[in-house]
Amino acid sequence: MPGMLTLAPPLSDLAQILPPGRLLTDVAELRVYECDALPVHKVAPRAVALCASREEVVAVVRWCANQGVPFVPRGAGTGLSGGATPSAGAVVVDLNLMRRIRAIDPVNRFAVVEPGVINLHLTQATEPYGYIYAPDPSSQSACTLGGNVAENSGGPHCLKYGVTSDHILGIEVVLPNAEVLRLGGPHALPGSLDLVSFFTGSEGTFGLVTEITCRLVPKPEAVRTFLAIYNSMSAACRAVSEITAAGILPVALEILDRRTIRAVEASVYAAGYPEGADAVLLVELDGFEAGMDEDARAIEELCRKQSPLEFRSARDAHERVKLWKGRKGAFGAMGRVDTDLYVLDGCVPRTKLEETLQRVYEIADRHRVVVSNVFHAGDGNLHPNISYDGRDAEVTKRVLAAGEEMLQACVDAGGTISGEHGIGVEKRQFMTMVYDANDLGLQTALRDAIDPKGLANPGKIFPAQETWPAPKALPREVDEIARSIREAHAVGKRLIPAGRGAHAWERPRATGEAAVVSAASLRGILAYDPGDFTIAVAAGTPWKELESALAEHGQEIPLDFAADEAGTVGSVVARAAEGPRSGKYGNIASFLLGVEGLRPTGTPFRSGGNVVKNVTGYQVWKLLAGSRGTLGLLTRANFKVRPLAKRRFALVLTFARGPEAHEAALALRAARLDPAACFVVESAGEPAKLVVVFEGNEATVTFLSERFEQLLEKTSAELAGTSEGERARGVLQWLAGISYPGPEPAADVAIAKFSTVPSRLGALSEETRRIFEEARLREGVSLLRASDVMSGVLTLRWRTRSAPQDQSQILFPRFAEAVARERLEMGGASGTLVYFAEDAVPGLPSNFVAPATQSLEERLMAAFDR
Amino acid sequence: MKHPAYEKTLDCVHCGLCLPHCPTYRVTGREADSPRGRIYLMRGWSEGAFELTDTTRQRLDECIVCRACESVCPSGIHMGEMIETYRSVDRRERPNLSFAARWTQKLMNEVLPRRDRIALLSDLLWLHQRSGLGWLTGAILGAASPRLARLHALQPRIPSRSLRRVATDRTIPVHAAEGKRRARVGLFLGCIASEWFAQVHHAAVRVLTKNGVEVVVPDAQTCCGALHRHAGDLDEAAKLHGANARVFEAAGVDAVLTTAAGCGASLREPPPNAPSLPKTQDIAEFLSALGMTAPLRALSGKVTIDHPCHLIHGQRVSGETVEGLIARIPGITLVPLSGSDRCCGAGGIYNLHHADMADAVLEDKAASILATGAGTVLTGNPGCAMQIRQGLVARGRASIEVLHPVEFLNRAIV
Repeated sequence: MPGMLTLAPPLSDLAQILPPGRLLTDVAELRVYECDALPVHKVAPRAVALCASREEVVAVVRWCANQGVPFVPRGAGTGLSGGATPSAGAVVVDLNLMRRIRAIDPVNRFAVVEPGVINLHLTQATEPYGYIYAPDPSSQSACTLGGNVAENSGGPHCLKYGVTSDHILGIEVVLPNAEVLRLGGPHALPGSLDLVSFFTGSEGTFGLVTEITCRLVPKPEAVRTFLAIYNSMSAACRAVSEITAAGILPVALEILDRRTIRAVEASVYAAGYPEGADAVLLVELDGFEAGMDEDARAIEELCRKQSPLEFRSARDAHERVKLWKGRKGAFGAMGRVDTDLYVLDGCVPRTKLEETLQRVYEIADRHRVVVSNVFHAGDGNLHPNISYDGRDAEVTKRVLAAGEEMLQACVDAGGTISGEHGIGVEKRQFMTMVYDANDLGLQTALRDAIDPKGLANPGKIFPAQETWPAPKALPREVDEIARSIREAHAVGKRLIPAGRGAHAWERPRATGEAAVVSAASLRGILAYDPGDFTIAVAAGTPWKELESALAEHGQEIPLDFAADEAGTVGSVVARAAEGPRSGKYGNIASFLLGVEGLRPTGTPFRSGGNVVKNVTGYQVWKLLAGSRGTLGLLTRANFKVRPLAKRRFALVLTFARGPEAHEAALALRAARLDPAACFVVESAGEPAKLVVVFEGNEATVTFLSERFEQLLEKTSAELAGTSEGERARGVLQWLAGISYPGPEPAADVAIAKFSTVPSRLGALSEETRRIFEEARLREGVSLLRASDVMSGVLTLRWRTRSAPQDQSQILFPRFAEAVARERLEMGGASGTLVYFAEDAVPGLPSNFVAPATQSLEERLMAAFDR
Repeated sequence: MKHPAYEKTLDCVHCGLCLPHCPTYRVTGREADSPRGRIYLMRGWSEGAFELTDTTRQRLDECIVCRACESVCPSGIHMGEMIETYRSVDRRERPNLSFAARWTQKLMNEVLPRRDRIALLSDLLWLHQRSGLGWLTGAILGAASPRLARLHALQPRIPSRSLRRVATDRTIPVHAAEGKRRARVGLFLGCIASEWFAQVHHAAVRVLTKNGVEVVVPDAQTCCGALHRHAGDLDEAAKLHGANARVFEAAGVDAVLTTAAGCGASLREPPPNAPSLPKTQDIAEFLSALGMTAPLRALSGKVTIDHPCHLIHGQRVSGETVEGLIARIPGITLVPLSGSDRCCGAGGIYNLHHADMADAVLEDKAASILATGAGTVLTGNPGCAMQIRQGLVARGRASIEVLHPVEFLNRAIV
């Protein structure tokens, strides 16, 4: 073929891997791949491989690995940090042709997609079933889900729903050595280290994603939008503070500043904002129609209190479009101010928004650049937009200098340099504003553990090593602990982290090879401004202390523990604790924003921060959640918090037959009434119980419980009791207690947790009952089964009247076997054993981690050990 | 600066929101087949950052000029203008001397602007279709050239000579309004469409007069020049546009109505150095704003509506405008067409020059039409009607009728 002669020899092999026409090598055509939506940095790739299947991706990556050629993943190229900017000589692996939605499971609320599926297309496909994919970056009509995973994208509606990472259940990854791993899946709980979250936001430096399992959430029944126009930015910011302080959690809180308003009004997107408008505040609520009026009235009152020039509200989709018009047109309007637009992305604690904004203006004026701000006020996520003419080198220089100072201003305010756009090539030299040599050393060591040859999207995220700042000094108490770990490490002792030692079953024993190091001396709330919706705590603080500090301000982290829970914040994080409400709100990892700790060598590390949106570097903190002390000792943890619901209502119902209770629970799920907790509790000789807890404002809870009663009309359900407020909290604590052995548990308590998809819980529960009965244990041995229908977790708790060597031990492997069978039936994607009381059942495998995944986990652990 | 519309290329901020809306990008997934990629190529070429290659010229040639990107662009790009002006430079710099190109050029310059020649061509085609030798011609052309074979497959059934003649002001000064006169309009006929789709014009005249509209059909009107613009022949386009502007100005009408979305989009936006026409509207937009007064009888069956790109993107007439008119007909089931706002691949005569791409683009359109189970597809542009019909015939579904919305409305008017 004459055409082939023009290819450099190695590329001709690559061309043969792909179908004709899918390896692009034309020198001019490659130029269109030299940047993504950040056209500031440009490098043309050596070739572009358009891959349409996992097999093609694997073949291309294998070729790259063998030839030592770097590769750069690319979706739609809508990224704003240059994450898809090629490095010299790289092959771009373009995944936009992998655009099939493989499965939608509305019952279990997940969808399986290829990485090239466009974000909005997923929601469009699931809406007919009554579900949506919640994260909605502004580019959602064009950006791909693969790109969203790589960047851990945010969006205007993150305030209520969280970011991409909170909605990714599983991924299939092609590692830089072309090995394929399946991580996570539709079941709720990670089996071991949370690698799914760790890969999310890794900006393509860990390889490529070829399949994604996404969480779906119910499509809100009602949406209300409000617009308030103020003649001062302070008034708008005060209105935001008042709304959040009132315990209302809107789905979006957006502000446009004066310069944006002017740009919008001068453009074809003019939205009719009045003369003198200095700030436009957009508030959006979603949820059930019932109860919407209550919150709407409150929002109107709070907005009016700050004397707006104008207040508007929208009840239907048509009116809503009008209110959003100026916000949606802002980007285009600013794009037309000049030839180029530089969109910055910093995040600060919410209460620091106004002062940071002032600094941004001051910096812009000083550098003589035109800046306008549109920002997610609820998240503290700022987007200064600089319009300029990129053809003028001197202007460009000033723009970049101003950008750098603006990011420094965010960091100075206790924030970070990227809330949702990623670091890419754009901000890698600014990583040093946030992280020191120890932190960057750990992150790069983790990257090297996954990509030793440095072929996956090289040149991203990390600055040159010689620029890394010297490690910061540690607080005295932490430094003392670090010294003792270093000393132990020096004599070859393994680190066993410990909290306050309050849990007998968690209390490790020091041996000749191991040193137990406690975080007990680290106690107290380190930073907490209720207006920020975040809190920072020393890791040795008892969880109960954190809980009461939040409750004083009407806030919480929605985890519930048994009344006698005695664990520390560190232990709650280390065992990735989840509670009865985690199916709805997420487990502790969903609320964790950052950690500080000491590696097994005594070297300190920090990851994440104290802001609610953060894509600055890898999500190392997500690895720590659930690491069970294998990665080091936690010294500090930062969390995001929620307003406490105004009303909580618990119902307990009994059913003659267990399966009927499961059916009712699934019907409740299908009706999308979304209780905060929904459990089926079964025990031999007792009627099955269905426990349901609703949360919300007065009207919403009344509506939900009435609808629920209607659902139950045709069943044999009998109402055993209801409770409100503190007593309803007692119900949650009781549910939490089922999987809690207590501070000093009896020696014969055994607890196991398995997770599957909710629709299989009834069958799995029944199967475990059968196994238990077949085992024919002695009198007095009983099995309690608690099915969390919101999360798909089955908790089994049994007790014998004998020593641990009792025959009941054999139950555990049998249960595990049943779950393994379940896993096979579900296509290898579901069912994971997540917990068992080790003292009661020693020496058994603790999970179903595949060997390849285990080997990766060991490499990551080894990186911490260095 | 080689690109006359270079300044326009700077409007693009490279955000990429256009990508999923581009029919060619959807087919190939290649950035250079997307609006953003094409603008990047034009801008880079203008700035001298790089030279275009045969491959990248082909990517630019493969733009259908559907202008879907214009509807979604936050910066408000003018893709149609950019591509047309790029092509005007390109055709000067690289005259295409292939047989097919010369043949197309001849057709555009010597037949389309001449209604007498179109009539002669139509007579010949009509005779040929009546002879029953279509299959033989198809076979011969198929063996000779795929392009000619495609042309053969695309041709609609030509109406007989008597049906092909729309009465113009040479014979009838005006088609009088029934009842009280509510408006006076000029009807634009187009070139090929004036003969091959004469039934659409007959329907338009009847629907309008029944609704109290007086219709003038100036005989001296000519081709709109859209095909010349798409090919980059801006001088010829300006000449034709000027002629039409004079004719309709003289007709003293409230509005000029078009039944072909492509002609409408072109007439509404004069090419460089050409005068404007009086207010020009698509017939659906006009009827919708005026409000229909003629009583409608019930029809039956499932109907679905395709929205031509040059109606919704080129003229910014919403899909709901047409749907609103059709939905008023009692008895029918109006089935939504998924992707109704997506290009069918016709693109004027794009489907002759880029048959493979046009076919690939048509794939989705044909599939979604079949999925509706409709027996009637309505589309307001003759090129789209031919393309869709060919797609349905190729899939063995010739029984599905493809009509202009105004033809369907006409059926329902008592």
